Amino acid sequence: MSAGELSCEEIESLLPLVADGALDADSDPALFAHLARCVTCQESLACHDLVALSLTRTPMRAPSRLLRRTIPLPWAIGSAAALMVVGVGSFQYLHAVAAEDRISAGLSALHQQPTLKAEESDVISLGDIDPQHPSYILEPERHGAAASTPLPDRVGTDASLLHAVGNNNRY
Amino acid sequence: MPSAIPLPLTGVAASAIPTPIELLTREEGALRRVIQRYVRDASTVDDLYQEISLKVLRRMDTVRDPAALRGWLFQLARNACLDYLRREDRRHQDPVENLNEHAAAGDIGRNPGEHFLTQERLAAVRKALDMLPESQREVIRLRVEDGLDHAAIAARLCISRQAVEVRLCRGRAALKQQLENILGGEL
Repeated sequence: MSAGELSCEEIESLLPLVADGALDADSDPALFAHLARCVTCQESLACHDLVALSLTRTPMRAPSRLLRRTIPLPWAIGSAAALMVVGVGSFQYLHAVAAEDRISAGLSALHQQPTLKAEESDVISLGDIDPQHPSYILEPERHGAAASTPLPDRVGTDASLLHAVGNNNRY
Repeated sequence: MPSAIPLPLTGVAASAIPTPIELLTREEGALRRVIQRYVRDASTVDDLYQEISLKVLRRMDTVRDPAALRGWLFQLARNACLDYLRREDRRHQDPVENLNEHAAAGDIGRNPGEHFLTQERLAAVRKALDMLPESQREVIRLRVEDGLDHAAIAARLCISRQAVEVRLCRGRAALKQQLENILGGEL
């Protein structure tokens, strides 16, 4: 190799630019003169060409760092299981809370219902009866009169019937 | 090579420039060695060598400088190999569209396993790219994917053109080394 000639190491450092198309025989005749003589550098150029060709088909716009991050399989499985446990536990807890809320709401609604008046109620508890109320005190004269008083209307018919039966005594 | 083919050496001193047959006979070993760096399949190497020989026979009269003959020959071989790889890549990308063209060329039954840009290789390139420093990867991306020239990349990144070329050189060299490591020397 003469003083003006390039060594294989120097050529090797420039081969990426040859593969890139930035250098040609006109722009760098010394480099291409070396390439014409040296099959080893030609082979190295072939490798750079293959890399350049591969690059043309490789998508280079990388996804975000978060998407590119890979999680080891055991960690992924463990994380998924933990998420499932938390999810199922949360569902059950919320379900129980909702049931409890429904019960509380029912009870409070029950307590907030207005007290039935005595006359509106079908069943009147004993607590609602005031024994001292005038309407519950039987007056003696009324009690005595009540014995001679005909039965209420509902049974009045029966009483009059009995009276008629007794009067006629047809049986 | 059939000797009936006329030698295209008109107007050039026959003593200075070898005949195409002499040139091809002398350089066949070196040529095949270089072709084998591009394609692995032996029959494809033969096909490409034949194709290059035909081009030499047809175009050798265009070479005026005997000193440039060997460089011209290797450049011819390089272009033929790259053209072949690009054709094969296009064929694998759209096999239906290129069916008739390749059937006419007689290479329809070629082994699909010899496709150069396999998914494994592209994945290896992707992995090797990820190992590069961000500055080098960005320059390569702008050059290859966006198709910018060195001056445009320099303007885009606000750096000098020399800095772009240094990053490009280092990035591609590192990429080649990483790929050789990943593919076990089968670059």
